[in-house]
Amino acid sequence: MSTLPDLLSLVFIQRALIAGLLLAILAGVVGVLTLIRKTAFYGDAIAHSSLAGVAIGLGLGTYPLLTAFIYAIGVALLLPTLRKRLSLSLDNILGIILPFSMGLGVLIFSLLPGYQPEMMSFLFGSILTIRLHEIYLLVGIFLSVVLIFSKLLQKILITSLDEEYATLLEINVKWMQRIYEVVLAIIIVSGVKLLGVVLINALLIIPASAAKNLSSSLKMWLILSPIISVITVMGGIIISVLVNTPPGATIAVFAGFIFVMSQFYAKYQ
Amino acid sequence: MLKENRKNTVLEIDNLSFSYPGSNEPALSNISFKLKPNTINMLIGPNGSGKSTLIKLIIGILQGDGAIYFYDNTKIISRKEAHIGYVPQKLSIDTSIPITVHELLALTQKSCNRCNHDTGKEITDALKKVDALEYRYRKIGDLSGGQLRRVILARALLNNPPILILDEPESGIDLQGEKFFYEVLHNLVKNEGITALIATHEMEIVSEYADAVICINRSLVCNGSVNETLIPKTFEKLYGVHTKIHTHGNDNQGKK
Repeated sequence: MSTLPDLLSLVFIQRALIAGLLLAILAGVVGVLTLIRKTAFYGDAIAHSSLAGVAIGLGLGTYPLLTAFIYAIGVALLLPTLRKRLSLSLDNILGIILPFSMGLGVLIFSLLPGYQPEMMSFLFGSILTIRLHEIYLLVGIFLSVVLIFSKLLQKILITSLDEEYATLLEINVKWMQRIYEVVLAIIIVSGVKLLGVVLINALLIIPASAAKNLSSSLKMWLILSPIISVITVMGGIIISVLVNTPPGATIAVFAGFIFVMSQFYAKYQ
Repeated sequence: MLKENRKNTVLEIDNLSFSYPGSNEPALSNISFKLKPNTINMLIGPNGSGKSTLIKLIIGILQGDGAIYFYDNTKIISRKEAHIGYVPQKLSIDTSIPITVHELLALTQKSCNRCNHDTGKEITDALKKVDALEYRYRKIGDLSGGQLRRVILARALLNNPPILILDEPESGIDLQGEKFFYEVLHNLVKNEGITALIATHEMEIVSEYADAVICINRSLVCNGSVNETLIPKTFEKLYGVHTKIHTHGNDNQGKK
């Protein structure tokens, strides 16, 4: 069995750790917004929708992550209009979009000739598939999101906390919501290769939930959530390479373990 | 003539009507009234009478037909310039969120483009006014209903608004909390030069604190002093019930 230093010297593991680190920080902050907005299911629907984008990309012979980004952002932007036009609740419309997009993805995969190993890696994640240009892409996304949040986080926060009051403060509520939804879609698709569409939402929700248990202020929550998210992802990846398990599943189970610990701490502190 | 009419008015509602999309019935029809400065004005009416709709129209969350004028002396000013403080019926923030009173107020203050950005001082002043400075670093989820109400009032008082609009502020608090809340509000109106419009169901509160009463049931039913409005005819029109008014030998027009 390889030792940890041996494994960490492998380039693909280094890439997975860098990708995981960047992704975890972003997911930690956006996870707090998702919990404030009580839309935990939203990320799940966007993640599952991106499978259709991946399948369309593979079918067209283009870069599948690009079509996944386009599909997921398209769904995020289309949802408010669909909700309004069809007079459906968010829960209801997500319950339609998720199975439709996932079904579409699986259907396209089934029509593609030959065995499609990509489908399994996009479904459950893989640390073997992170390429160097994807690290550059993730760095670009990370810096863009940091720039957006440095300018707008306060307004996005107050809009997420209290939409009515944000309107009274003359904040462009619709714009803030769209920005949050697009950022969320981008982060989710960025993490799909590492964690898979089935488990990416765990990174968004579980560390933020654990951090909520340990926080006595919003500031503390916003700081602790990315820290716990980083611990979760780094720990999950290392465990997955040590015991040779799928990274997405390992990270999700490890995150669940940390959440249970935080729950005990909150109860007995 | 118009200038005369504007004198001694901070807010004027002129023939305001509103229907919710998809509804054939108007939620409000041809509502007109004025608010005098430095007064407590109580808005009464049964459930579904349009009180909350009217408030949302005044603060600009809904857009209706007719006009809403805000005045600074006799000059018409925009809603933005009028700078309204608003206390909603229910705080839409989930109280399980670990946010402190200071953070809630700071976030509001910093998100407001037109506001004074000496955030610390503004928060201290607002919390002092409602006697809630001691809760500053407590989580909102750890506060009682009455304490939380005062914190929401403090949020509305950031940057000294000349007009305060409150939508059933007594909801979710006990009698003692309600009494304390209205005492704080009464002192604010009398000492800080604020004009308050309060939607409420509490007739005892209305008779004790109101300078003027506006009664609506989708349209204006009455508008005037407590003695002019809190009469059996009003209750019959508003609630369809016959009432007898018991007085305690005190014909006050709002608490002085």
